[in-house]
Amino acid sequence: MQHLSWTGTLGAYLNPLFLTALVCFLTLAVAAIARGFSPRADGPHLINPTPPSVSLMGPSLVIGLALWLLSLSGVALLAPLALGNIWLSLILCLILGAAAGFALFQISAEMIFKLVWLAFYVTLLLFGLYLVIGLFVNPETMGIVGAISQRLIPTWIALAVTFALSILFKRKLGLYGKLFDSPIGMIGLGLVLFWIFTAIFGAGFDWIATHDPLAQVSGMKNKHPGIPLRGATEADYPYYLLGGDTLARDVFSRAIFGSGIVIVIAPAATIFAFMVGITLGLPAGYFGGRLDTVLSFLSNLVLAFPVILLFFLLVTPEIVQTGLPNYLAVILFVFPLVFIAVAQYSKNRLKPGFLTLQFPILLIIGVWLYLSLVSETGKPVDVLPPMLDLFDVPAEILLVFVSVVFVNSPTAFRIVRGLTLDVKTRDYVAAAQTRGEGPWYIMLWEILPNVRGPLIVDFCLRIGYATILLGTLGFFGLGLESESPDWGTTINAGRKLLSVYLAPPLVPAFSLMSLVLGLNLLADGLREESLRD
Amino acid sequence: MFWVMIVMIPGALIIGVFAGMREGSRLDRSLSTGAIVTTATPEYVSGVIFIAIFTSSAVGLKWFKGSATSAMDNATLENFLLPVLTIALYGMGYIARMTRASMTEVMTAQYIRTARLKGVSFANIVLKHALRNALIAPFTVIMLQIPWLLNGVVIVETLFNFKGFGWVLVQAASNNDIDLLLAVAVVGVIVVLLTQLISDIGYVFLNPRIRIS
Repeated sequence: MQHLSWTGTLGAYLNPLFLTALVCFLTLAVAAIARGFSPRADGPHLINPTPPSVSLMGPSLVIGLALWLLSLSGVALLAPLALGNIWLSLILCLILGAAAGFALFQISAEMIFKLVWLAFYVTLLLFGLYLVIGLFVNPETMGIVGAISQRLIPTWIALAVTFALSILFKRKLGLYGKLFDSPIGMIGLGLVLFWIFTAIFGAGFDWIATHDPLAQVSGMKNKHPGIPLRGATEADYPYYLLGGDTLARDVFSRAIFGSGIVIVIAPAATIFAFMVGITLGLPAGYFGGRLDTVLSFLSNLVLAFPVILLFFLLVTPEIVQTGLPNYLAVILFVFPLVFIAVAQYSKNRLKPGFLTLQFPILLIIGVWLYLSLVSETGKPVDVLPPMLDLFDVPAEILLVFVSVVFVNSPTAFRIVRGLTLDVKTRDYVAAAQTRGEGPWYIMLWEILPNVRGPLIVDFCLRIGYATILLGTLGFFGLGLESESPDWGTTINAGRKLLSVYLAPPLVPAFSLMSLVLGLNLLADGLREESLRD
Repeated sequence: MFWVMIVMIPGALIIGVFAGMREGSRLDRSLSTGAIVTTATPEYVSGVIFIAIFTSSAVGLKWFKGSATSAMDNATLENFLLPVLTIALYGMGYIARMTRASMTEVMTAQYIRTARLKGVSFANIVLKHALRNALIAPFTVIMLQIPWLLNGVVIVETLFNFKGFGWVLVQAASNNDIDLLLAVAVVGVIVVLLTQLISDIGYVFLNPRIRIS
């Protein structure tokens, strides 16, 4: 079995093309940004723009273009010989190309921005080509990139279907559909959906990962990407696509399974934090007065601690033994229940049959779920007998979950409180008050739906932040056990040998970064589109 | 911490001002995207990437040192730049975005248009008229960043093996030393509260419209 290279045998033809396109794009982009700094740049504030004279534009454009291409090719040819170092030559190439490009852009801006986009699309197209070809050929032909793309087929299909359907029906989909009008939002959504689907199909159905994330194979310790599996049988996938880590586990599979943990915990924790924030923030903003003072003081108290201190204070074993996280869970998890109960009660309380039939059933189910969530046999909070306890959340997951919720809820509280203060003076609130609606009805069914826009945007940002916090917890080895495949823990485990074996920490690092970036871009796109109308 | 401020604040302000002076321009868009990318990269990710690129023998660019242990006695560019950069980068994006928001708001104000119509050059407007008013809001943001910086300090000190405040915290936690942990917590909280106080007082000085009643 051969050691897999990054791009396989086909790479010999594709790589030069791809590199050329990439370097072209980078130099052009740097030059275009530099062009933006110069005083003659475009912009709405430019008064009395003088169009560049056409006669001057033609020849100098050609000269600039020629200069730029010449410097690129010259550096590309000479640098490897002279320096023997691909990084230095690449950087030199970038600087020279950008300088020549800059000289060129002094003359014609519009032309160049078109070139930048052209180079960008060509680069993207070539990169897509790696992935698409990788789908159909065997790993030796298209290398690691192709093989990974092949493993991700379920994700690609799901992504394609979602995007096709969404774009087809985007006019009927409200704010979500409008997201497809903004490229930034689309990129963000794409990244987020990529990880969601990877988590579902990879960690949920186990269709993507090549190996067991916890299995250790002897002889595979600290191997570089593309190493063939030693002693592979017919049933095994023949490679460790992204190498093996210090305990001889498959880096690729661990990253895939890590996404499952993050994708479940981070949004769930954010939802709980928002439930706490909404349930407390609405009355604080609406009633004001002493309630507001007390709640704001409490939230400021929590916010005065640097997050990491809180984590260490919550997660240290000695403190865990006192049961503090369990009691916190009891307090924090009651809020969703209160929220749903109050919302249903205030809306439907006058409907016949609601108070006698539906509401008690809802309450019983809710309380049961809540109790089975917080109570655990052998732990400080143990109220339900084991036979009634529906499910047990593993202690360390609960711990991590509670810490993330606890840290995020004061911020959610402040946002909701601020929005409520802003909205409660509106006319429709006054109308509802005149109608004689109760305060909780007004808060939950008049104010809350009207502040949903900013809340959704902030929700996306908070999920990203919760992901970072989760990684921080893993990075310090707090909470989750040390062999768990989540990204933070994996980064921490891999960083000790970072100077020699790059893949184990870098793969989860880039995964985490792309997910958070996707969430931030998504929030940005949502904000832009919701401001538009 | 001091060096982080030195790197982060001017960098963030410059990016924010350049992005905000012409809202919607290509410069603005590329800088804003850059700011989003840095806010999406937590310290333990950017630190690991920096170490991988600049110090590892696998890539070959051994420009800096991956450990800042020697920086405790003798901080040089070689052993201290990467930790500082790692912390600064994460905070930078956020401050830059705040600066950009306040700068765009100022640039649409009436007095800017007046100055523009008077024939003041664009550079002069940005530097003399807009900048002073645009910098009030970022000041509070910078002060509010201090708790996050403490956060970053703990991560980076662990990552780069620099035995400072954050390292003590991690050691205390791993040795189950609750007293030391609580002591560190008290120090941290006091630092945070002090910076909040400074931020409130400084805001009054910067913005004469606010009076303490």
